[in-house]
Amino acid sequence: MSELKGNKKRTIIAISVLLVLIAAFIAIYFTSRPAANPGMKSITVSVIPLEEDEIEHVLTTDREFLSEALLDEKIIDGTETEFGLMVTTVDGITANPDKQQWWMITKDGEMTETGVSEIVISDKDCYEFTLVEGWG
Amino acid sequence: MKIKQATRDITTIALAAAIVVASKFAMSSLPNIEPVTLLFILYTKHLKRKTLYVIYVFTFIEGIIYGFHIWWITYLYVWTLLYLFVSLAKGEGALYYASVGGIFGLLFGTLTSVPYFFIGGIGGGIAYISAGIIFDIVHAAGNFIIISLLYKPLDYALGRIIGNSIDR
Repeated sequence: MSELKGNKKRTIIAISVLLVLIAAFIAIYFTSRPAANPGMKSITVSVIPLEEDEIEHVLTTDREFLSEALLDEKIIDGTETEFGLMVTTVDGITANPDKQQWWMITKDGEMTETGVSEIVISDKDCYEFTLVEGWG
Repeated sequence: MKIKQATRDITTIALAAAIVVASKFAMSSLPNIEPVTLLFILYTKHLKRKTLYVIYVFTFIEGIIYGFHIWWITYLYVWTLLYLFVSLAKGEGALYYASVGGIFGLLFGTLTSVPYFFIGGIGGGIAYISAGIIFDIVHAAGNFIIISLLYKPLDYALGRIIGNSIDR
């Protein structure tokens, strides 16, 4: 009887911890999202393939998100997923999943915290798309 | 007699690892929704410490299939942590394990972020965690639903199949 009571207590504790953690994670997710910057912006996008030379694009856009600006200019292409756009092609170069290739997005050399659809652009931002081989 | 038992144990471990690899692969089209957490919880309950062999065989096979990259190092300890928690905690039942699986799924990104703190500093580690929050929430929801639905029937099936045939 006491074992049954103890188990019920442990289950309630586990559910409570789960709910608190979910609430905390959702709160962190929404509060850490950067606010949009309206107006015209000039941004630089460098494309770094595996073997070819680096290509640099300087574009002016009034879009708020990086994916929108780059899709307008046909610089990137990809697949829409429930988590936003998954970039597969940059400047006509398609990452080969069989070779574990993927496009790494960095801003001033630092890994971006979100996917391309959630990157809010500001004036004079510099982004790099680097083709990387190997997951992780 | 002892050799017979050892053969039985090795076969059980190999089959258990194969089930994890195959079921994970079968569900790989669904991002961050996996049966691995459920299976390791069940194995911990039924195979006891032999689960550690299953975990490391599974991790090694994953490395062979997908390459030995940073994420692979994290696999060496995250599943062991799940094993240790399930072994030491005294809870029982589908809802309890569904909640444990949910918590584990939610913390998965944080637990696997350790190498990124060494590589990218505190900023790199925090960036890795915050970039994966949405995936962790999906992981938690997936684990909760899968374990809620499948824990009871699989627990019963494993109990019947394994029974006392393995030296735990």
